[in-house]
Amino acid sequence: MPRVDPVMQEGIIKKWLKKEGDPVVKGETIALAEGEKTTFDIQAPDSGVLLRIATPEGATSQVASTIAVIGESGEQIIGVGETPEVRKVPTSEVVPQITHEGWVRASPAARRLAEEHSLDFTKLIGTGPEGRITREDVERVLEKIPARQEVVAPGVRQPRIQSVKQLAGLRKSIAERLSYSARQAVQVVVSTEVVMDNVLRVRGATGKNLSLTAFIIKAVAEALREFPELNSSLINSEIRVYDDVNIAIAVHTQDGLVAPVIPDADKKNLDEISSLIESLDRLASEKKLGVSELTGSTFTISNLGPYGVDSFAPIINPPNTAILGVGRIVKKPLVVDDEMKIKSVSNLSLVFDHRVIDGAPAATFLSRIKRILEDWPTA
Amino acid sequence: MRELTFVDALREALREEMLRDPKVVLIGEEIGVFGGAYKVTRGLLEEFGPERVRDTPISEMAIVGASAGAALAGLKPVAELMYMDFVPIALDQIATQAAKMRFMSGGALKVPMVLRTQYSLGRVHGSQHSQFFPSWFFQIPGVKVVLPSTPYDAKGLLKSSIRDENPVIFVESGLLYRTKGQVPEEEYSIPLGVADVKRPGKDITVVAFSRLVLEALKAAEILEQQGISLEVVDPRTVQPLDMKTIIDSVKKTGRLVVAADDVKTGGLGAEVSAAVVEEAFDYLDAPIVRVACPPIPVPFSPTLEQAYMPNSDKIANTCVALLG
Repeated sequence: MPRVDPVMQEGIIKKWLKKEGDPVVKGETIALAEGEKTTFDIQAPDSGVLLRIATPEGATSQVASTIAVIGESGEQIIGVGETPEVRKVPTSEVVPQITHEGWVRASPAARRLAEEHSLDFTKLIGTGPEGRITREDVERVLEKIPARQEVVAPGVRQPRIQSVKQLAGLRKSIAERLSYSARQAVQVVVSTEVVMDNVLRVRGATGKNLSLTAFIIKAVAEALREFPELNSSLINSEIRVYDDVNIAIAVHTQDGLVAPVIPDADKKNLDEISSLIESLDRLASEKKLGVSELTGSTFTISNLGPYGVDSFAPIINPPNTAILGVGRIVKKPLVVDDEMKIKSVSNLSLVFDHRVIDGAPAATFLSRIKRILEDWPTA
Repeated sequence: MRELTFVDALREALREEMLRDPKVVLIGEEIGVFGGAYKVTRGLLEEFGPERVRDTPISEMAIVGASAGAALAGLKPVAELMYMDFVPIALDQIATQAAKMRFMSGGALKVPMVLRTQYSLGRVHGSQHSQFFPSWFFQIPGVKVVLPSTPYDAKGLLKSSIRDENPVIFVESGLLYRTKGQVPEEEYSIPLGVADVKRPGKDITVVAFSRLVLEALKAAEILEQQGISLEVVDPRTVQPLDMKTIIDSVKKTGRLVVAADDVKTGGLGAEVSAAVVEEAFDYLDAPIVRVACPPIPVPFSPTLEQAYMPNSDKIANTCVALLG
């Protein structure tokens, strides 16, 4: 089972395209699988005959465990499942693994029981001494029996619980990435108001339904070329400044937030970016985003304008150094040359990691984006 | 069933084995005419005569050395050392001679002797007459070590010890001598190396040795009122130690308290804890806790001695803390 995204732990085989005994060619898609974030194809790591399928359709397999054996016709298979020989899909970039900060107090018995049931015990509440997670705490979750009645002082109001859902899959992945970001990065926000009249005019003039996000991406990509220190990652004790400008866009789906990537945004024109956004949106809603669409970002943009938000400060998408929050475009009276004018404005909020850069360059970067958008050539 | 004191049960075991096998002889200080410092051997000189019940001078080295020699020559001696504190005087005879003969002779020689002794912790006998160090013998393969806790066990285990072909160190608690318990009249013996679950329970396993088995049972009664269920395991034999019974119990309860009258560091509890961690780590739901004596000589002051010793309250409090 290949790991197709950095936080993937296991995958489900959705469909085998080959059956035992079929010849396969290296690189050929032999199965469709689903990870926690995405569906993906599994290619034959080598040519030969598909001798045995170890993970049937619908079954789950841990990353790096054997899902099938390819060999020569008539070859003996010994100990399937003992030797994980499945290749790992290389990702284009080093992404920090999300690990737990510090140590979770849990008894060995609780850990074992949780492991046996693939339950993430670190999210449980321990009722043992010093908050230790005990076997009973795990059993309680496994049996879905309510926790020992907490002693509630008289008069204290407790909300009634409508439903309880385990933190799992994409939700869990989002929770882990964002809490990692919130703990690690020193996040500071700077905001500015941008007049979008030129952008709207250009957009209207094209006659095409270009995405407003595409303009923002284009402006950000251009600014990033001038301020490469924002196009970076702090990994361990290294600040890695990237050559590629790969801009992720936050996309809301039914299952939760995903951030597909527009690679080389600085080298693409508006049309290209706009149509790429469209296709990524579609793939996201169909849950078909693959590993290449979801990895390698160097900067992220989150546009909540369509939801009627004026301004907001998003959380940095690790391992990026900064993220731009975009508010809605609204008509406002503005004082221009001592005269009241009606202008279409939008709020941009840049959240940056103060460990990597300081306030002044970050503010200059934001001003540069503002300038690019406001001075968008209309000719 | 009739009740016997611990002392009477021991005497009955000695007498029955002496009647059964003429090779069984007793040797020790004041065991004959005086009937034993604790009256375990009372009446046996009169019944079996001075050939088989030998009073000796005050020389533990001689008592144990003579026993080992007699055992090698075909007798089955049961030696008595008045205090466990004096065992070290004869340690060479035990550790370097008796314990090694069978192994070094490739099985040609056997040393079927029993060394009975007692420890007086809790009887205000002072630092030099209250020591209890059964864990020393973990380092002496070749001897067996028995720690009985009830009259029934004392009789059955002593009989097995006498019949065993290896040196057996049989350690009694002075505080248990006057305790009473049911002992059947019919013949029975208890194999060495088999633990006894003295009380089944589900929350915490308490492995208790010797006198502390009774204290653990008291603790279990106290805690039962609070809805805490203790399983009290009495290993009965320290060498060999029945780890299977202990592990099975820990797998069931997930928690372990080890109670012993020895000094905590490097004691019985240390060995049991380590073995449980090795074999049942994944079953532990709480840290293993030892209830034992602090690493200082036993105080003479009765008040201090009581504070120093483990008891049912200390076991109960430890168990409560373990559940949080």
